[in-house]
Amino acid sequence: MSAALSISNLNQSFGGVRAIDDFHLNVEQESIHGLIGPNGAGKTTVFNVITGIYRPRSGSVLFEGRELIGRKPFEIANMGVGRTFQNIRLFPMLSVLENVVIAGHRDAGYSFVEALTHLGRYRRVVRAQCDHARGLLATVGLEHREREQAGSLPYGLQRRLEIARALALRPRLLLLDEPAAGMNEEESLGLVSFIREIQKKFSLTILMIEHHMDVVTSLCHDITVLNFGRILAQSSDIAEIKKNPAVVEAYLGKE
Amino acid sequence: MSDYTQGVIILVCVNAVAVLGVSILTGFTRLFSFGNAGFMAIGAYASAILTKQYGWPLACSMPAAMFLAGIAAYCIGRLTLRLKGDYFLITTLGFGECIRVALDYAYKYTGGPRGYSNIPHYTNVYLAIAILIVATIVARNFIRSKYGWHLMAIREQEVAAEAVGVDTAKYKLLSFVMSALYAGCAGVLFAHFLRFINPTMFNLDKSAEWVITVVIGGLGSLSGSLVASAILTLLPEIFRSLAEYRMLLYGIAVVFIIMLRPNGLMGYREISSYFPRRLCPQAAPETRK
Amino acid sequence: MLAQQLINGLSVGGIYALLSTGYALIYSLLGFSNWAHGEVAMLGAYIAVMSVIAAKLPFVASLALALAGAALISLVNEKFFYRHIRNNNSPTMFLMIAAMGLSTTYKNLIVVLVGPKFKYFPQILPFESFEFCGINVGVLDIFSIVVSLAAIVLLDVLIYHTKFGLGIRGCASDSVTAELLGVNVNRYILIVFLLAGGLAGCAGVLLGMKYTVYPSLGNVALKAFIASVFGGLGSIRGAILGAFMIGILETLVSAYVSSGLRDLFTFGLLIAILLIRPEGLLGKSVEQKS
Repeated sequence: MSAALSISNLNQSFGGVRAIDDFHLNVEQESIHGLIGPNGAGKTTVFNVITGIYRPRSGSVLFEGRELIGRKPFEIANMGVGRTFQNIRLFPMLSVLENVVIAGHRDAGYSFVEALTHLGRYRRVVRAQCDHARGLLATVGLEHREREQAGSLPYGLQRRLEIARALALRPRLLLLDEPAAGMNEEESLGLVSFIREIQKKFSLTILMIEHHMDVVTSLCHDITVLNFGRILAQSSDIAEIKKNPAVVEAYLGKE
Repeated sequence: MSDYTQGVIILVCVNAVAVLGVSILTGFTRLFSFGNAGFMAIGAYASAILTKQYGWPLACSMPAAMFLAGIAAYCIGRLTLRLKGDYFLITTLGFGECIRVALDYAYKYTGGPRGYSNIPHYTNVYLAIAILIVATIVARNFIRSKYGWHLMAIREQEVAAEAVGVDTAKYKLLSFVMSALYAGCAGVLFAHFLRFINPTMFNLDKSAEWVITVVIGGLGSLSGSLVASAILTLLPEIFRSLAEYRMLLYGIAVVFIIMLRPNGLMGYREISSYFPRRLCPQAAPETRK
Repeated sequence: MLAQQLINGLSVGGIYALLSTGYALIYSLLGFSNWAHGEVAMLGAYIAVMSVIAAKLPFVASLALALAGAALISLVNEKFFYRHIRNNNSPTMFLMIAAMGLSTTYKNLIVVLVGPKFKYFPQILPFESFEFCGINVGVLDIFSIVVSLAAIVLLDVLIYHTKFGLGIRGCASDSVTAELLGVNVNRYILIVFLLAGGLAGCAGVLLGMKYTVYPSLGNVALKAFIASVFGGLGSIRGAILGAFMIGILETLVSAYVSSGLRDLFTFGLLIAILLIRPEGLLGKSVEQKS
């Protein structure tokens, strides 16, 4: 297997504070990689560097062999990198269906004139895209709520909608930022099987930030632990990570 | 129809066309511009000079004038759209004022502050209505296409819009240029209706009035913008005695609408099914609780 | 000639600074541009001119009345309008729209109540100008420089060197945390509006004396708003710097280039500065956290 995402020598600082210190990471094709660590460890910063929101001081981020650094967020998204946000960022006043349809629009093959006149390919393309979006909503279990306003959905469903929206990009790499946040044990169990299902269905490579250790343990093939922007441990053996003294100290504090 | 009635109808059409542009920009993209009267000025002066000085027919001068307004918006937008919120707003305001100053200064060609007169009379009530109808159809189709949807994505959540592959810089620029084309078109109609224009007709108050109209009509509603511009142009004509209270009532209306009905009279809704609220065609009959 | 223009520029800049600091204060706390600020100044000028002309009050009393009145109007804006909108959880942008509405309302209220005609302050200062080292110095210019400098220095001391100013700056940098720490943020906001209103009233009176008093006098505040954008939105020292830069630039352009092109230069400089420093001269760039 080759690496879908390969990060090396990544450094980032904000106002003199090192947010990420010599970070490196390899995510294998079609694997699920967990990124864990205490609050403020720099996990979301890593996501923001991958998706082009921040430009790092140095380092390289290769996605399927192509450099991502220096590209704009929308270019990276269109290359096949979908993401969700820690504090959900939907299009709140638009309907559930519209949220998903908008995301699939990079390959809307109709011209400006066709858009202004609604002639030519317009109708066919729009219908196809709406059907595609409805299919994705069915995948995440929102097919009966497509007309509701996205902002008024319950929290858990908003998270699912955000995933559906990311899937509409037809991504090959999916970045999930705390998908289980605010969920109880039962809900997070449901989430585990859901993520496994979409991973198989769309042949996705997934990198996820998560605090719920049971979610991480049951889903992830590899785990990276981050603290103060530095890697504490990186392994595919969860038991080993749990025993690692540096990790224990970071989570529980010095005894 | 009396001349007076025709005049009022033409004024409604002129304002409505410009307001449609502001509606695309402010209602659907949530960008604020206090410089759109500047684009109207470019359209008005360009068409006036081309027809009077160079004998162009309206059919050529109108696209040319709109094109010039669009080019101006493209250049300004390229420079300033990356600025955030209020920083962008103030540069549009600056642009509008600069156009005014430039028109004063280039008096050899524009007549300066004394104005430009004897413009050929081309705008009649039928042309104005026809243009408004075309402008409405184009705006409606534009909003209901990938372009409009991307603008709404930017309005709702800019970071997320980028994350789902929307080139926000490009689409903001498109929105700005569209609004300038509409303002330019309104300017052309206006110049060939009044037959006399001067720079102060296109001042900051004009731009602000359009923004206010869009807010009253409802951000994110094309039909709301149309209705509001009709009401706000007609009311002072109907209640002649109220004319001096017009701007006062405008101001009060804005304050109370934004406090009590923050989405405007028609926020996010459309009056007629000609402007469908939903982007997607209905699915096969669905089972809903 | 140059020295004379510089004095004139300083006096204009000082008036702009009185207004631009108000924009900056309010922006730093609430994150919106208070478009009604210029109208607060305009109303202050009307209070002063009416109390001098109609009520025959002495100038000092009318000045005090204008300051108090403008501060009160500013307070009313916050207490009855802006706060209501903030409590609605509306986007910050709506505050700006409401301020636009208030600005239109006040302007036209004056047109309806007082009429669109210009009002003049009577001659208040003993004489108009004097010779100093061979240059002709306007007494009004000196008066307005002294008044505005005094107010600006006081403000700077208040914001940067007192516990009260620390409170304001705390609320400005993170109002949520300040609230959690037990700071009464709304009280600070009220005080800031009072303060900004008072400064605006002072600026209004000085403007009215320098030019005349008319309903759209508040449009002059546009330049002050530009100055605060220039210096960096929300930065008080940036606003002061920007105000003096614009004041001096304007008088120099009017004197040596063309008064018709004055605004073109101001806006040109604004755009140039924003292109180089998108957050203004002293503004801080804020990283968006996702």
